[in-house]
Amino acid sequence: MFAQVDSAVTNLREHTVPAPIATTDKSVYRPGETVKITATSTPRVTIGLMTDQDGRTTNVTIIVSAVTLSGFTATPGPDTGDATTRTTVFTGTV
Amino acid sequence: MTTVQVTVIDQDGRTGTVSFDVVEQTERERRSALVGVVKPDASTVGVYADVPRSPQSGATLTPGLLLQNKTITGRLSPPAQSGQNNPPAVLRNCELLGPLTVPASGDGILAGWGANHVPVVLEDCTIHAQALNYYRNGVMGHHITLRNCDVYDVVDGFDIFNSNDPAGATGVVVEGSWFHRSSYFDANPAGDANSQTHNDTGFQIMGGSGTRIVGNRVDGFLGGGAVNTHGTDRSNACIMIKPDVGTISDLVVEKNWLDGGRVPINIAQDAGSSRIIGTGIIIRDNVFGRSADAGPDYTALMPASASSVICTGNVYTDGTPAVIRRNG
Repeated sequence: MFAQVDSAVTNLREHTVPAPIATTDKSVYRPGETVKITATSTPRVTIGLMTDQDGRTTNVTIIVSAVTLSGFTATPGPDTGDATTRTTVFTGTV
Repeated sequence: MTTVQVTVIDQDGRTGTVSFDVVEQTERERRSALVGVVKPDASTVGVYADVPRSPQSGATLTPGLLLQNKTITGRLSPPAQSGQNNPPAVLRNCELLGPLTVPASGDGILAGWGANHVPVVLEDCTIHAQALNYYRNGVMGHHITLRNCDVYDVVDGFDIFNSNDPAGATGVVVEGSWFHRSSYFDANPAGDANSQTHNDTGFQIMGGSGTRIVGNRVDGFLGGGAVNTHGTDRSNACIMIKPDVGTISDLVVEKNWLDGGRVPINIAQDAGSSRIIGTGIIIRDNVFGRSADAGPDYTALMPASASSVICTGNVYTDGTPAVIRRNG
Protein backbone atom coordinates (compact mmCIF):
# COMPACT_ATOMS: atom_id res chain seq x y z
CA MET A 1 0.00 0.00 0.00
CA PHE A 2 1.05 3.57 -0.36
CA ALA A 3 2.43 5.65 2.44
CA GLN A 4 -0.07 7.92 4.06
CA VAL A 5 -0.11 10.94 6.33
CA ASP A 6 -2.06 9.80 9.35
CA SER A 7 -1.96 12.76 11.67
CA ALA A 8 -1.79 16.43 11.31
CA VAL A 9 -1.45 19.49 13.47
CA THR A 10 -2.28 22.54 11.55
CA ASN A 11 -0.77 25.90 12.06
CA LEU A 12 -0.02 25.80 15.76
CA ARG A 13 0.90 29.45 15.59
CA GLU A 14 -2.53 30.40 14.34
CA HIS A 15 -3.05 33.10 16.94
CA THR A 16 0.34 34.75 16.54
CA VAL A 17 0.85 34.73 12.80
CA PRO A 18 1.59 38.28 11.67
CA ALA A 19 0.24 39.92 8.56
CA PRO A 20 2.53 39.86 5.56
CA ILE A 21 4.91 42.72 5.02
CA ALA A 22 5.80 44.26 1.65
CA THR A 23 8.61 46.61 0.82
CA THR A 24 9.74 48.25 -2.43
CA ASP A 25 13.30 48.76 -3.59
CA LYS A 26 12.69 52.50 -4.02
CA SER A 27 10.05 54.98 -3.02
CA VAL A 28 9.85 56.95 -6.30
CA TYR A 29 9.83 55.57 -9.84
CA ARG A 30 9.72 56.94 -13.37
CA PRO A 31 7.38 55.53 -16.00
CA GLY A 32 8.96 52.47 -17.56
CA GLU A 33 11.05 51.66 -14.51
CA THR A 34 11.07 48.24 -12.89
CA VAL A 35 9.58 47.95 -9.42
CA LYS A 36 10.66 45.17 -7.09
CA ILE A 37 8.30 44.37 -4.24
CA THR A 38 9.55 42.01 -1.58
CA ALA A 39 6.75 40.26 0.32
CA THR A 40 7.56 38.51 3.57
CA SER A 41 4.92 36.24 5.07
CA THR A 42 4.47 33.48 7.57
CA PRO A 43 3.46 30.22 5.96
CA ARG A 44 0.80 27.78 7.13
CA VAL A 45 2.67 24.71 8.37
CA THR A 46 1.24 21.22 8.67
CA ILE A 47 3.29 18.66 10.63
CA GLY A 48 2.29 15.07 10.15
CA LEU A 49 3.43 11.52 10.62
CA MET A 50 3.80 9.43 7.52
CA THR A 51 3.46 5.64 7.92
CA ASP A 52 4.39 3.09 5.33
CA GLN A 53 2.88 -0.36 4.75
CA ASP A 54 5.15 -1.90 7.34
CA GLY A 55 4.37 0.56 10.05
CA ARG A 56 7.56 2.58 9.73
CA THR A 57 7.02 6.25 10.40
CA THR A 58 8.67 9.52 9.60
CA ASN A 59 7.79 13.14 10.17
CA VAL A 60 6.61 15.25 7.28
CA THR A 61 6.23 19.01 7.17
CA ILE A 62 3.96 20.63 4.65
CA ILE A 63 4.40 24.34 4.06
CA VAL A 64 1.69 26.31 2.39
CA SER A 65 2.70 29.79 1.28
CA ALA A 66 0.85 31.59 -1.47
CA VAL A 67 1.31 35.34 -1.48
CA THR A 68 -0.50 37.47 -4.04
CA LEU A 69 -0.58 41.17 -4.84
CA SER A 70 -3.49 43.48 -5.39
CA GLY A 71 -3.28 46.98 -6.85
CA PHE A 72 -0.24 46.42 -9.02
CA THR A 73 0.57 43.85 -11.66
CA ALA A 74 3.83 42.06 -10.99
CA THR A 75 5.34 38.65 -11.58
CA PRO A 76 6.39 36.60 -8.54
CA GLY A 77 9.82 35.06 -8.35
CA PRO A 78 10.52 31.77 -6.57
CA ASP A 79 9.27 31.40 -3.01
CA THR A 80 12.26 31.18 -0.66
CA GLY A 81 12.79 30.88 3.06
CA ASP A 82 11.82 28.26 5.65
CA ALA A 83 8.89 27.09 7.71
CA THR A 84 8.74 30.29 9.70
CA THR A 85 9.40 33.03 7.13
CA ARG A 86 8.85 33.00 3.40
CA THR A 87 9.94 35.65 0.96
CA THR A 88 8.67 36.33 -2.53
CA VAL A 89 10.05 39.04 -4.81
CA PHE A 90 7.58 40.44 -7.32
CA THR A 91 8.80 42.31 -10.39
CA GLY A 92 6.66 44.71 -12.40
CA THR A 93 6.93 47.83 -14.55
CA VAL A 94 5.31 51.17 -13.86
CA MET B 1 2.80 62.34 -9.36
CA THR B 2 0.78 59.18 -8.86
CA THR B 3 0.82 57.07 -5.72
CA VAL B 4 0.37 53.35 -6.19
CA GLN B 5 -1.04 51.43 -3.23
CA VAL B 6 -0.23 47.72 -3.25
CA THR B 7 -1.79 45.10 -1.01
CA VAL B 8 -0.01 41.84 -0.31
CA ILE B 9 -2.27 38.93 0.67
CA ASP B 10 -0.99 35.72 2.22
CA GLN B 11 -2.34 32.22 1.97
CA ASP B 12 -4.84 32.78 4.74
CA GLY B 13 -6.13 36.14 3.58
CA ARG B 14 -4.09 38.32 5.90
CA THR B 15 -3.02 41.54 4.24
CA GLY B 16 -0.25 44.09 4.36
CA THR B 17 0.27 47.22 2.29
CA VAL B 18 3.02 49.19 0.67
CA SER B 19 2.92 52.25 -1.55
CA PHE B 20 5.24 54.00 -3.98
CA ASP B 21 5.14 57.10 -6.11
CA VAL B 22 5.43 57.38 -9.87
CA VAL B 23 6.82 60.71 -11.04
CA GLU B 24 6.16 61.63 -14.63
CA GLN B 25 9.26 61.89 -16.77
CA THR B 26 9.88 65.37 -18.07
CA GLU B 27 10.25 65.87 -21.81
CA ARG B 28 13.86 66.82 -21.18
CA GLU B 29 14.48 63.52 -19.42
CA ARG B 30 12.67 61.56 -22.11
CA ARG B 31 14.72 63.07 -24.89
CA SER B 32 17.96 62.75 -22.97
CA ALA B 33 17.38 59.05 -22.52
CA LEU B 34 17.06 58.59 -26.29
CA VAL B 35 20.41 60.13 -27.26
CA GLY B 36 22.41 57.66 -29.32
CA VAL B 37 19.60 55.13 -29.10
CA VAL B 38 16.96 56.57 -31.40
CA LYS B 39 17.63 58.51 -34.61
CA PRO B 40 16.58 62.09 -33.91
CA ASP B 41 13.40 63.31 -35.57
CA ALA B 42 10.75 65.95 -34.97
CA SER B 43 9.58 64.16 -31.85
CA THR B 44 12.97 64.34 -30.13
CA VAL B 45 14.40 67.73 -31.13
CA GLY B 46 13.47 71.37 -31.07
CA VAL B 47 10.81 73.27 -29.23
CA TYR B 48 7.91 71.51 -27.59
CA ALA B 49 4.78 71.49 -29.70
CA ASP B 50 2.48 71.83 -26.70
CA VAL B 51 4.27 74.53 -24.71
CA PRO B 52 3.56 78.13 -25.77
CA ARG B 53 6.41 80.56 -26.27
CA SER B 54 6.45 84.30 -25.96
CA PRO B 55 8.40 86.64 -28.24
CA GLN B 56 11.57 88.30 -27.06
CA SER B 57 14.14 90.49 -28.76
CA GLY B 58 17.64 89.38 -27.87
CA ALA B 59 18.82 87.97 -24.57
CA THR B 60 21.61 88.73 -22.14
CA LEU B 61 23.34 85.46 -21.51
CA THR B 62 24.43 85.85 -17.92
CA PRO B 63 25.89 83.03 -15.82
CA GLY B 64 23.17 80.86 -14.36
CA LEU B 65 20.44 82.25 -16.59
CA LEU B 66 17.56 79.86 -17.33
CA LEU B 67 15.48 81.22 -20.15
CA GLN B 68 12.57 79.08 -21.27
CA ASN B 69 9.67 79.15 -23.70
CA LYS B 70 10.75 82.10 -25.83
CA THR B 71 10.89 82.92 -29.50
CA ILE B 72 13.99 85.07 -29.69
CA THR B 73 14.96 87.34 -32.53
CA GLY B 74 18.35 88.92 -32.91
CA ARG B 75 21.91 87.72 -32.65
CA LEU B 76 22.90 86.07 -29.39
CA SER B 77 26.43 86.42 -28.11
CA PRO B 78 27.51 85.48 -24.58
CA PRO B 79 29.56 88.15 -22.83
CA ALA B 80 32.95 87.54 -21.26
CA GLN B 81 32.59 86.18 -17.77
CA SER B 82 34.47 87.38 -14.75
CA GLY B 83 36.52 84.53 -13.39
CA GLN B 84 36.25 80.96 -14.53
CA ASN B 85 33.83 78.08 -14.29
CA ASN B 86 30.67 80.08 -13.85
CA PRO B 87 27.40 78.22 -14.41
CA PRO B 88 26.20 78.36 -17.99
CA ALA B 89 23.35 80.35 -19.40
CA VAL B 90 20.69 77.81 -20.30
CA LEU B 91 18.07 78.31 -22.99
CA ARG B 92 15.36 75.65 -23.07
CA ASN B 93 12.42 75.33 -25.41
CA CYS B 94 13.41 78.47 -27.26
CA GLU B 95 13.21 79.23 -30.95
CA LEU B 96 16.22 81.23 -32.11
CA LEU B 97 15.57 83.13 -35.34
CA GLY B 98 18.60 85.38 -35.61
CA PRO B 99 18.49 88.96 -36.88
CA LEU B 100 17.02 90.35 -40.07
CA THR B 101 20.24 92.14 -40.93
CA VAL B 102 22.85 90.63 -43.20
CA PRO B 103 26.32 90.44 -41.64
CA ALA B 104 29.45 91.41 -43.53
CA SER B 105 31.14 88.08 -42.81
CA GLY B 106 30.36 84.70 -41.36
CA ASP B 107 28.18 84.97 -38.28
CA GLY B 108 26.03 82.78 -36.10
CA ILE B 109 22.54 83.04 -34.72
CA LEU B 110 24.44 82.11 -31.57
CA ALA B 111 27.93 83.60 -31.86
CA GLY B 112 30.08 82.49 -28.96
CA TRP B 113 33.70 82.90 -29.93
CA GLY B 114 34.87 85.57 -27.51
CA ALA B 115 37.58 84.85 -24.98
CA ASN B 116 36.35 83.26 -21.73
CA HIS B 117 32.71 83.88 -22.51
CA VAL B 118 29.83 82.64 -20.40
CA PRO B 119 29.20 79.01 -21.35
CA VAL B 120 25.91 78.46 -23.11
CA VAL B 121 23.63 75.42 -23.07
CA LEU B 122 20.80 75.09 -25.57
CA GLU B 123 18.26 72.39 -24.77
CA ASP B 124 15.29 71.53 -26.93
CA CYS B 125 15.76 74.64 -29.02
CA THR B 126 14.97 75.26 -32.67
CA ILE B 127 17.61 77.30 -34.46
CA HIS B 128 16.84 78.58 -37.94
CA ALA B 129 17.44 81.87 -39.69
CA GLN B 130 14.45 84.08 -40.29
CA ALA B 131 16.59 85.87 -42.89
CA LEU B 132 18.61 83.36 -44.87
CA ASN B 133 21.80 84.82 -46.22
CA TYR B 134 25.26 83.90 -47.40
CA TYR B 135 26.90 84.57 -44.05
CA ARG B 136 24.36 83.20 -41.60
CA ASN B 137 25.38 80.07 -39.74
CA GLY B 138 23.58 78.43 -36.87
CA VAL B 139 26.06 78.31 -34.02
CA MET B 140 29.70 79.40 -33.97
CA GLY B 141 32.39 79.26 -31.34
CA HIS B 142 33.29 77.29 -28.25
CA HIS B 143 32.07 76.35 -24.77
CA ILE B 144 28.60 75.67 -26.07
CA THR B 145 26.41 72.64 -25.49
CA LEU B 146 23.48 71.61 -27.64
CA ARG B 147 21.05 68.96 -26.50
CA ASN B 148 18.21 67.81 -28.71
CA CYS B 149 18.18 70.91 -30.85
CA ASP B 150 16.77 71.32 -34.36
CA VAL B 151 19.08 73.29 -36.64
CA TYR B 152 18.18 74.18 -40.23
CA ASP B 153 17.99 77.00 -42.77
CA VAL B 154 21.54 78.11 -42.10
CA VAL B 155 24.76 77.77 -44.11
CA ASP B 156 26.73 75.74 -41.56
CA GLY B 157 25.10 74.14 -38.56
CA PHE B 158 27.85 74.60 -35.99
CA ASP B 159 31.34 76.01 -36.64
CA ILE B 160 33.59 74.90 -33.78
CA PHE B 161 36.72 76.89 -33.03
CA ASN B 162 38.38 79.01 -30.36
CA SER B 163 40.77 81.56 -31.83
CA ASN B 164 41.75 82.59 -28.30
CA ASP B 165 43.10 79.12 -27.56
CA PRO B 166 43.29 77.43 -30.95
CA ALA B 167 44.32 73.94 -29.83
CA GLY B 168 42.81 74.13 -26.36
CA ALA B 169 39.57 72.77 -25.01
CA THR B 170 36.58 73.67 -27.15
CA GLY B 171 34.05 72.90 -24.45
CA VAL B 172 31.64 71.79 -27.16
CA VAL B 173 29.18 68.97 -26.64
CA VAL B 174 26.40 68.32 -29.14
CA GLU B 175 24.05 65.44 -28.60
CA GLY B 176 20.70 64.20 -29.88
CA SER B 177 20.29 67.07 -32.32
CA TRP B 178 19.15 67.22 -35.92
CA PHE B 179 20.93 69.30 -38.57
CA HIS B 180 19.33 69.55 -41.98
CA ARG B 181 18.19 71.74 -44.88
CA SER B 182 21.33 73.83 -45.42
CA SER B 183 20.81 77.20 -47.05
CA TYR B 184 22.92 77.36 -50.20
CA PHE B 185 24.06 80.41 -52.15
CA ASP B 186 25.84 80.09 -55.46
CA ALA B 187 27.81 83.32 -54.98
CA ASN B 188 28.74 85.76 -52.25
CA PRO B 189 27.06 89.17 -52.09
CA ALA B 190 29.87 90.61 -54.24
CA GLY B 191 29.12 88.06 -56.91
CA ASP B 192 32.67 86.72 -57.01
CA ALA B 193 33.36 83.72 -59.18
CA ASN B 194 33.50 80.32 -57.44
CA SER B 195 32.27 81.83 -54.20
CA GLN B 196 29.40 79.42 -53.61
CA THR B 197 28.77 78.33 -50.04
CA HIS B 198 30.45 75.16 -48.88
CA ASN B 199 27.73 74.05 -46.58
CA ASP B 200 28.74 71.83 -43.71
CA THR B 201 25.26 70.86 -42.66
CA GLY B 202 26.25 69.68 -39.22
CA PHE B 203 29.69 70.74 -38.16
CA GLN B 204 32.83 72.45 -39.34
CA ILE B 205 35.39 71.57 -36.72
CA MET B 206 38.32 73.92 -37.12
CA GLY B 207 40.41 73.32 -34.05
CA GLY B 208 40.67 72.42 -30.40
CA SER B 209 40.31 69.40 -28.19
CA GLY B 210 37.58 67.67 -26.26
CA THR B 211 34.72 68.13 -28.73
CA ARG B 212 31.96 65.56 -28.36
CA ILE B 213 29.47 64.90 -31.17
CA VAL B 214 27.13 62.14 -30.00
CA GLY B 215 23.80 60.77 -31.16
CA ASN B 216 23.03 63.45 -33.71
CA ARG B 217 21.35 63.22 -37.08
CA VAL B 218 22.87 65.16 -39.94
CA ASP B 219 21.15 65.18 -43.32
CA GLY B 220 23.72 66.63 -45.68
CA PHE B 221 21.31 68.11 -48.19
CA LEU B 222 20.54 71.61 -49.41
CA GLY B 223 17.21 73.26 -48.83
CA GLY B 224 15.00 75.25 -51.12
CA GLY B 225 15.60 73.11 -54.18
CA ALA B 226 19.20 74.35 -54.45
CA VAL B 227 21.69 72.54 -56.63
CA ASN B 228 25.44 72.53 -56.01
CA THR B 229 28.23 72.77 -58.55
CA HIS B 230 28.09 69.02 -59.01
CA GLY B 231 24.47 69.30 -60.04
CA THR B 232 23.03 67.65 -56.94
CA ASP B 233 21.29 68.76 -53.77
CA ARG B 234 24.02 67.54 -51.42
CA SER B 235 25.92 69.83 -49.07
CA ASN B 236 29.70 69.77 -48.72
CA ALA B 237 29.70 67.48 -45.69
CA CYS B 238 27.78 66.47 -42.63
CA ILE B 239 30.95 66.92 -40.60
CA MET B 240 34.01 68.75 -41.91
CA ILE B 241 37.14 68.32 -39.81
CA LYS B 242 40.04 70.53 -40.80
CA PRO B 243 42.49 72.39 -38.52
CA ASP B 244 42.01 75.83 -40.04
CA VAL B 245 42.28 77.48 -36.63
CA GLY B 246 44.20 75.03 -34.46
CA THR B 247 45.32 71.44 -34.17
CA ILE B 248 42.38 69.13 -33.60
CA SER B 249 42.65 66.38 -30.99
CA ASP B 250 40.56 64.35 -28.55
CA LEU B 251 37.48 64.51 -30.76
CA VAL B 252 34.73 61.91 -30.45
CA VAL B 253 32.13 61.48 -33.19
CA GLU B 254 29.93 58.70 -31.95
CA LYS B 255 26.54 57.09 -32.58
CA ASN B 256 25.44 59.66 -35.13
CA TRP B 257 23.22 59.11 -38.19
CA LEU B 258 24.92 60.74 -41.17
CA ASP B 259 23.88 60.89 -44.79
CA GLY B 260 24.53 63.03 -47.85
CA GLY B 261 27.17 65.65 -48.39
CA ARG B 262 29.97 65.30 -50.89
CA VAL B 263 31.06 62.82 -48.26
CA PRO B 264 29.43 62.57 -44.82
CA ILE B 265 32.67 63.01 -42.86
CA ASN B 266 35.51 64.83 -44.57
CA ILE B 267 38.82 65.07 -42.72
CA ALA B 268 41.53 67.23 -44.21
CA GLN B 269 44.87 68.64 -43.17
CA ASP B 270 45.57 72.33 -43.42
CA ALA B 271 48.33 72.15 -46.00
CA GLY B 272 51.49 74.04 -45.16
CA SER B 273 50.55 74.90 -41.60
CA SER B 274 51.72 73.51 -38.27
CA ARG B 275 48.12 72.82 -37.34
CA ILE B 276 47.33 69.16 -37.79
CA ILE B 277 44.84 66.39 -37.34
CA GLY B 278 46.17 65.26 -33.98
CA THR B 279 45.66 62.33 -31.67
CA GLY B 280 42.60 60.98 -29.94
CA ILE B 281 40.18 61.47 -32.81
CA ILE B 282 37.59 58.69 -32.72
CA ILE B 283 34.89 58.02 -35.32
CA ARG B 284 32.85 55.29 -33.68
CA ASP B 285 29.53 53.48 -34.05
CA ASN B 286 28.03 55.87 -36.56
CA VAL B 287 25.36 54.88 -39.06
CA PHE B 288 25.79 56.09 -42.63
CA GLY B 289 23.29 56.48 -45.42
CA ARG B 290 24.28 55.94 -49.02
CA SER B 291 23.44 59.33 -50.51
CA ALA B 292 26.91 60.89 -50.63
CA ASP B 293 27.71 62.78 -53.80
CA ALA B 294 30.99 60.91 -54.14
CA GLY B 295 29.30 57.54 -54.23
CA PRO B 296 26.99 55.29 -52.23
CA ASP B 297 29.73 53.73 -50.12
CA TYR B 298 31.47 56.95 -49.09
CA THR B 299 31.37 57.54 -45.34
CA ALA B 300 34.55 59.05 -43.85
CA LEU B 301 37.33 60.33 -46.07
CA MET B 302 40.71 61.38 -44.77
CA PRO B 303 44.29 61.75 -45.93
CA ALA B 304 46.90 59.14 -45.19
CA SER B 305 48.61 61.67 -42.93
CA ALA B 306 45.61 61.47 -40.59
CA SER B 307 46.64 57.96 -39.61
CA SER B 308 45.94 58.61 -35.94
CA VAL B 309 42.20 58.80 -36.55
CA ILE B 310 40.50 55.72 -35.07
CA CYS B 311 37.46 54.40 -36.90
CA THR B 312 35.54 51.51 -35.42
CA GLY B 313 32.02 50.09 -35.41
CA ASN B 314 30.73 52.30 -38.19
CA VAL B 315 28.05 50.78 -40.41
CA TYR B 316 25.62 51.57 -43.19
CA THR B 317 21.93 51.66 -42.44
CA ASP B 318 21.65 47.98 -43.39
CA GLY B 319 24.25 47.08 -40.77
CA THR B 320 27.10 46.26 -43.11
CA PRO B 321 30.50 47.68 -42.13
CA ALA B 322 31.19 51.15 -43.48
CA VAL B 323 34.06 51.71 -45.89
CA ILE B 324 36.56 54.19 -44.48
CA ARG B 325 38.85 55.85 -47.00
CA ARG B 326 42.29 56.94 -45.87
CA ASN B 327 43.50 58.13 -49.23
CA GLY B 328 41.65 61.41 -49.50
